[in-house]
Amino acid sequence: MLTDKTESLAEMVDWESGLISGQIFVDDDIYRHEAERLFLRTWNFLAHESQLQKAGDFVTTFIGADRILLVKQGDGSIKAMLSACRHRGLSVCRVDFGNAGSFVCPFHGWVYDGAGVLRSAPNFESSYHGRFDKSLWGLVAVPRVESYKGLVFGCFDLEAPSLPEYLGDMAWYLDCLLDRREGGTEVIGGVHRIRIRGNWKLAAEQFAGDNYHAIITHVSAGSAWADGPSGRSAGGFAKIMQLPGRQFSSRAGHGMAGFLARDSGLPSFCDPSMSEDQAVVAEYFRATRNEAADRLGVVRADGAPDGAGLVFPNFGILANTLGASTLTLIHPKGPSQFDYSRWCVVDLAAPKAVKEAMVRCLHVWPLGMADADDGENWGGIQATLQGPIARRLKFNYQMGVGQECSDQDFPGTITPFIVGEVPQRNFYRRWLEYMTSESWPVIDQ
Amino acid sequence: MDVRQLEIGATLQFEIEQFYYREAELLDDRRFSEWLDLFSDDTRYWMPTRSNRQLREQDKEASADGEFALFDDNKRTLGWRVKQLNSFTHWAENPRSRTRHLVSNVRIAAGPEGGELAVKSNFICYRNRLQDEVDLWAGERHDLMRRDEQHVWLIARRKVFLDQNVVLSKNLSVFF
Repeated sequence: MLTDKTESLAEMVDWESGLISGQIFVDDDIYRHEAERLFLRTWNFLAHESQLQKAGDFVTTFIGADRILLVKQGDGSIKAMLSACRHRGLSVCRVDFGNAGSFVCPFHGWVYDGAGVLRSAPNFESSYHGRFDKSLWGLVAVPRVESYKGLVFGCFDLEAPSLPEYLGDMAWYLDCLLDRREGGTEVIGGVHRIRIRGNWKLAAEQFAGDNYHAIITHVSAGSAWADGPSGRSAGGFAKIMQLPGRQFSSRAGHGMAGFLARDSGLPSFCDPSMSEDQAVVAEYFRATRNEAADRLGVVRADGAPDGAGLVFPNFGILANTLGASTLTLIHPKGPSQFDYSRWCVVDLAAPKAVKEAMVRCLHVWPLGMADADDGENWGGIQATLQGPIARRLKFNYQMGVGQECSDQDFPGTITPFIVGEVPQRNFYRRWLEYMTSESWPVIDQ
Repeated sequence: MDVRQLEIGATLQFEIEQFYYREAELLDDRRFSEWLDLFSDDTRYWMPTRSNRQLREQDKEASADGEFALFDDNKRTLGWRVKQLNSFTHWAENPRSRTRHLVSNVRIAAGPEGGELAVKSNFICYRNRLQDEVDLWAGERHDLMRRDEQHVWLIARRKVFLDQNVVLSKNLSVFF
């Protein structure tokens, strides 16, 4: 594997020195390797439980490059299956979501029930003459499906640890988004999907650790809405990124890109001066602060740690940021493209008017005014890396080297700044372990 | 002239089509602030997402009010986008994209209020960007049009149906 390359993967990913080769973003062999060694081993986000309410509800998604069908079962459980007919492989479900009692392959008409059991095929007796055992030809199940506070994940690797163990300290940070109030969360309003012409890791590492980009990538967005007495926006991201803050890194590859410390003097949820919707959300957070504090403690109830984060390898969150929260899935589509899917996630117990205000906030940020410039820049990197010299460049991931510490308020490895590249180095350290291991890569502490 | 007695005929058809051609020109000439002036102060510029649905739910293919959208702007947030486009640091449009908006199939009906028009039109928008990037978007627009005090047509609502499920361009840094 990879024998035609002059460099080994370990040479391309020198995470200790903070030097990462552009090669890992463009190489076809590395991409094929990822499809096998990474996505078939990691826990992959599949859906939010609120998308699957009653028996027969289904959604379609991907694990890596494989099409996955999720179906709510009669017993309330959720089953994940490869959406590929066992006869010739055609997808048995070609819509995004809905409710169905069975799934029919359009090629020859094999019919599977909601649990993936092969139930019938046309002219079954006269075609197969009794020499066919339907029980052996059900849809291939994703062997492990587990949920964490509403988020459904699937994993093909039987050696992988349980989902809570896989998440580790990251769960504490996810709770800021998922567990503020009784009843948890729901996603509302469908999904927003766009195809970006960049390697999926460019977006993943950004969620894990790159607040730094906002200063310049999003400068036009920040200044465009600074048309009022906006305390947050008028100073721009350059000011925010100098405020007291923290980053979280996980040995398992997860990260929080950077959040304001409680003493930063700036509430992180939203900016009431920006719009009526932001004001509605700000008031909602104020009104529910004590309930959140009872559940999560004051550190998490008062805003830290919000912002961008990543569950390794490709599930991002943007928690309580400028009026809304998003779940993000970064589906690779070859080495040079990915589909960027976003869902709006809200407290189930929030009033309808607050939920609607949150969706509208999301249309401003990030969907409306930030995405365009992210898409431009990720695509621009990919374009540059078509050149053989450019792709052999070692990129600099050295911000924050040697500044890891621990913190009494925040679990995991912490860097005492709101920007840095420790989470990214941990992301690539873990990526390298998956890519170079013959079996589940046990974390050696 | 009493606008309630607008006759939906060749003259009005010509007038509205000319309005759309001028609008396309403003966008393709990157005169975004003038384009923004074509919208009423209470406007909504809305582009729902499009999902693949079972046939019995095909009428729900476009996301509903209150759900996710590709655009859902009022005049103020649309103004933010224009301000962003007019800045020198909106990297998605610096250097500028070359766009060509083609508008056709203009169908005019009476609107819900007297003097208002419900106008459907189809569009193709071609974008060429940087050295070799090309995007092609097609779709339908549903506009609610009304005249202001000076008798100038304004877009009081625009709902854009982009004919894509996964948006296949790296961004939507253009208007439709």
